Amino acid sequence: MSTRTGLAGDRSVTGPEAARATRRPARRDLTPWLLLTPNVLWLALFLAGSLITLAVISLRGYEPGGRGMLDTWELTHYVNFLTDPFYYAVLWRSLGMAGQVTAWCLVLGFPLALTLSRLRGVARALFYLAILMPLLTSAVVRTFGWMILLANNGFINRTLIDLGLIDEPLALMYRMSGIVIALVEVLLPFMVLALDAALLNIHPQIYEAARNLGARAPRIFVQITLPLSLPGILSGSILVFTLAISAFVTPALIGGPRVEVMATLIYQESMSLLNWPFGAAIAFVMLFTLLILFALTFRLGSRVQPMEAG
Amino acid sequence: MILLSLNALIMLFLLAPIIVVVATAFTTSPYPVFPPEGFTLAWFERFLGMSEFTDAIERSTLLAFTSMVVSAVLGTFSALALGRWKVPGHGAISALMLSPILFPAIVLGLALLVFYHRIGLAGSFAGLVAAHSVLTTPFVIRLVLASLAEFDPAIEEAARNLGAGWWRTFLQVTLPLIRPGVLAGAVFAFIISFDELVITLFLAGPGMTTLPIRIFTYVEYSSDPTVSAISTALIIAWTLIGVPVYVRFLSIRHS
Amino acid sequence: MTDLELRDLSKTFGHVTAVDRIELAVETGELVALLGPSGCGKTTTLRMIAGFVIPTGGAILVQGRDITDQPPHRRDMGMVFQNYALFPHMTVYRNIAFGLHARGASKSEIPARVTEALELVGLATMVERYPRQLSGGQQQRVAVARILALKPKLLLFDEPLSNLDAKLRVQMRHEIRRLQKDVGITALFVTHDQEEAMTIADRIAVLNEGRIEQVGTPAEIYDRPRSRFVADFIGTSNFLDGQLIDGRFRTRSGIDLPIPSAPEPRDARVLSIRPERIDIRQSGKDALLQGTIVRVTRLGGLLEYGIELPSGETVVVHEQSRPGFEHREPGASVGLGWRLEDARLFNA
Repeated sequence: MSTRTGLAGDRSVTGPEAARATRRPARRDLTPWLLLTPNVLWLALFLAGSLITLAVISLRGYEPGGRGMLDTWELTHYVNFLTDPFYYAVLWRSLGMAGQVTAWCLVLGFPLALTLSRLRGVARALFYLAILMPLLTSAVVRTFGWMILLANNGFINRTLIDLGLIDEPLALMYRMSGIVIALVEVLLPFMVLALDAALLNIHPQIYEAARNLGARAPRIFVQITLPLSLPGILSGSILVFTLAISAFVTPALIGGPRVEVMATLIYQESMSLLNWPFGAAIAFVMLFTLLILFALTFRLGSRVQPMEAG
Repeated sequence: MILLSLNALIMLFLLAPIIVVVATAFTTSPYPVFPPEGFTLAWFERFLGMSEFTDAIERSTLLAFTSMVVSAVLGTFSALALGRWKVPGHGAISALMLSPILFPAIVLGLALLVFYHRIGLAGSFAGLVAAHSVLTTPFVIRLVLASLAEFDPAIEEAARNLGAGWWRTFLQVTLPLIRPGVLAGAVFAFIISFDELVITLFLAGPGMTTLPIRIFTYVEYSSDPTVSAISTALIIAWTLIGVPVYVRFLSIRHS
Repeated sequence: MTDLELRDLSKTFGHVTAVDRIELAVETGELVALLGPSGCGKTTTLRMIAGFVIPTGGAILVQGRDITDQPPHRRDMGMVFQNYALFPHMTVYRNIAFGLHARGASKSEIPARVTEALELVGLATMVERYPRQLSGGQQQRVAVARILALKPKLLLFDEPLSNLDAKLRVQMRHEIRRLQKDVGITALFVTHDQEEAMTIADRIAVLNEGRIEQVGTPAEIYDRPRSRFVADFIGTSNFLDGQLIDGRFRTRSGIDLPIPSAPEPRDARVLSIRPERIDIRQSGKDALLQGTIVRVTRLGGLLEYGIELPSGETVVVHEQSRPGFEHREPGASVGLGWRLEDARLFNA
């Protein structure tokens, strides 16, 4: 190998000198930091700033109709929310609603996800698109569609009556059942995508091996598919539950003033009644609930995680 | 097979409200009945003639466009930094950047409202843009990162080796290669911002009634096919814009 | 007894014929290898036997019974996959017990049968381990044990050793063979590795483009290939084009070569001879061909000579390297000869 290359500024040498020369530490490249800082700063400022402000406000007293927000420090709002039967009921109602929605999304989402995970090429792209399409339309639009369907003289009721399955129209609007139906539809794509990702991770030969060993479809589903798709079930459930418990548009439009959930209560207290402290307290109760949920799922998840499927 | 018919039913369930909304946009009846009666484009004409809606469309477009630009720039830079350099703590930083999606909109909306009140951004356009950008930037980051992962970093190194400085490399090599991700992210950001309701409800000042807010308040008190018409127009718009971008993005990823 | 019979078995995918009317009979206790290049249809055939692919024609019989329409979970045969396909979320014990449960074995006999199967493959101590805690070779053995526990009539191997490194592959192939012989189970082994097939199989079915070119013992396939493809695919061969004229084979370049008295096939156009069956002698009347050495290559203990004939054709000859002797010099004129019965004739 030549030791001179003839290029200007090139001082290539060989031997021990070269080794010593290359041991100089590299100059710190600041570019990534330049790129990241605006976003990090801004996020830290806005997210942290707003959440801290909210926390502080949740601890302030409030005088309705009087001086409004006070300069005091008190836990009244948290105590109120968690002990007053009316508000307590809202909490449980919201948890129950989110639980039902999650369960139904799992039941309805699995068949779609199973099919999606088995498709390839164009068929899969089309199926995927069909599942994503609803997400392109906003929640308001889809909820409006449900309002039309769920009304007493709406399509669902009229069809059921025409088919002779019921005599009186089912009250679905302004009821929890209507909210659940609509929320399940709105959030189903999220569950399907989470399940699909997990199902794709399962090597197809595992199914073949199971069939070869004599197992039929039900046994394969219970003993192979379900356990191996657990990571997807967990991540999908937590996503859907989070979105369900904090859902505003759908419960507001379909539940109306009759069915109050946490999100609509927060809005009402803070925007209509201007009781920011109370609204803030409810918001934090919601965050704490979600935090507990995340922690539980994380512990469950880490016990399930070390399974590389095939 | 059982699975096939089950799928068909569930799919129908999934698409039901959209079908209903689009169908009722053309009904001749004064109420949105499904199945619709007759066929007319009157409702479309109606909403196009209502200034409360057309003004709202303008405002939403302006807001969405501004948020799109802000988040596209911030998101692309962040994605580059995270994807090309292994900065210490990049796991934590990336988690921070993608976290806004995890926060319930209702909580974020109230939190930003009280925060803005403190720092004087309440009811301002800039505040709205900031809030929307916080929401949409994670999507841009995700999509640009995906695009980045598709090509060999050696291409950039080759460019540098040939004498191109950082900026030239970025403009002439990196940017064209990540363009699908940036475009997809930008389109996504626009649609998300345009359709955003909850946070906007909290933060919008008197002159900033966006289209989603307008639709929401309209639907709360009256129920007529005008809303179906607007919704249908939106569905068509997003499908026409969103689907080709999505398809192009996917096909480039797979080739 | 014929444990497995394939009659006229075919599979087409649209315009593509993957398997073209193959016939095969496998006797009890035999290990038959399905050997061929990728895309020849061997894996499709195996999967049809297992039931994962539905044939478009023909029948599959197991001990005389037609099972062509039986779904996979009813067939009494075990398949060992390339990726082992062990259930990652189950211990070795549960993996093996899975099939026993599925086939309705009674709770009381399962532990004994699991232990029995594991002892056969020598992994009795690994009962409570998970697949990810085992090495590749151990996982392969668990996959085999999982099948043996069910005592099936047939063992199907789908290129099970392709994922292992070379040394392990050789070791495992002998283990599989030993196991198969000890248990006495009939087996079908798909591979693209001819060394593997030649080493462990009782008989080899050579496949090409969906058709069986030849079925025979390794010796038969090697010494008496029945088609140009088999002669070319197994080991190496020299090919000389020409035709049969007056009881001799005249090459395209006009050289007359003697052939055994009753040549087959009658309309042969190719004469083939293996490099190690040609010996180099003095050029002269004794030699069947004359040529010049143009290339010498050392292949371990073997010397490979490339010999150019006056017609421009090249013949490859293998000679054992002898101690004390380097090699013949390139450029030397030599004669080539061989035993008449070592040459093969083919149609095309």
